[in-house]
Amino acid sequence: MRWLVYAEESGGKPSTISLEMLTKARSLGGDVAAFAVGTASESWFAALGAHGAATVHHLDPGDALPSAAAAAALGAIVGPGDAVLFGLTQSDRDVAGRLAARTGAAVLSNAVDIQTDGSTVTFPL
Amino acid sequence: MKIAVCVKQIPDPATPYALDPTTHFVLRPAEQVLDDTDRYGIELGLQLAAATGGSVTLISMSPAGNLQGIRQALAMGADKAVVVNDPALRGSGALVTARVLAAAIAREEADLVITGTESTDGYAGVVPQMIAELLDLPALTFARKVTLDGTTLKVERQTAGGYDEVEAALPALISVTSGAVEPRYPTFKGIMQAKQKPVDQPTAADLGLDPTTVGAAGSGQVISAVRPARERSGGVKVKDEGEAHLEIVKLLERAKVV
Repeated sequence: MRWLVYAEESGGKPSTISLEMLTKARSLGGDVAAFAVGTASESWFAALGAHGAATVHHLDPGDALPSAAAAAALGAIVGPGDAVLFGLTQSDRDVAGRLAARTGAAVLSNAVDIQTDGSTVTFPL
Repeated sequence: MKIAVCVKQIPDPATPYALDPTTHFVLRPAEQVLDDTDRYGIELGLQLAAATGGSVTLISMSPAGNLQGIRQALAMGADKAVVVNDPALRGSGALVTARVLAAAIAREEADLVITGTESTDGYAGVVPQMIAELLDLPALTFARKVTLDGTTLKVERQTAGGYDEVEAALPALISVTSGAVEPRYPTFKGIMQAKQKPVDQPTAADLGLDPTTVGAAGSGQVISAVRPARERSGGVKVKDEGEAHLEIVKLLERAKVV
């Protein structure tokens, strides 16, 4: 399976939560990719790679709120066998909601940990 | 302007929630209260309706029970309510909830949809954007200040680092944070009038939704087990012998808050 990590930048640097999610995804096995939203920067992309992203997809939403464009772009690249990880910031939640409505996928919210058997994602007790 | 405000009846937060031992769903008593955080969206809707000569319709999905929570919202001044009341919806996840609410809103042909940011018994925080996507609307979320300039909405949107100034043309959806406006208290007259206001109670099928695509079966997720939250441990006592501040800084660093 593939983990797609939603990653925003703040001040040209990767957000802390995006690196935490990449680290978690790497520990779960499978492919890891980042979906980077913000102004392009080689050092930012390199940091995402250094934390485990084998592929970085990039979207620059310009001055617009990212939710509609990011959900449309993510919707075009996700498929069966993908799990998309979001943090709990305002934009993360917005994109997660839009993406779920586009794809029909369930949103499991407020996870404190993740387990997987390769086809099902579970929050362990 | 026709304004739809999404609201939710929830079990009284002052009493511990009971869970169904088999399904792990929250048991919903006949007597539920209005989610307190919904009062901000209702207030904003009432203010914008007053400014534009419009109307406010409450949109909700839950076992209707005795409608106490909905009457609380009507008592603030909303004109009418639509409560999608259908046992087949039991166990619906966020996306099914959004599909049901969107179907009810579409029937009202609203120019503006107002929601809270998340419910006080679900906390997913994704339903507003889902509704916007399903209705093909722009969404200005986490609004801490809202102004309407003709048919353009201007919003200060709360972010982790401050706020964004964003705007969208109607029709649109906004989600409001607690504190965005000062909710009014229902008057005695409002409480009396609320008892007479129309409350439509359609089923999912009435809204054109296939009953097999709603409820737990249509939601793609299962609550496999639940357990009580861990109790907080006693913490760490730091004795001050002149150097306690250094110890406290170390603890804060370990907790990653500095």
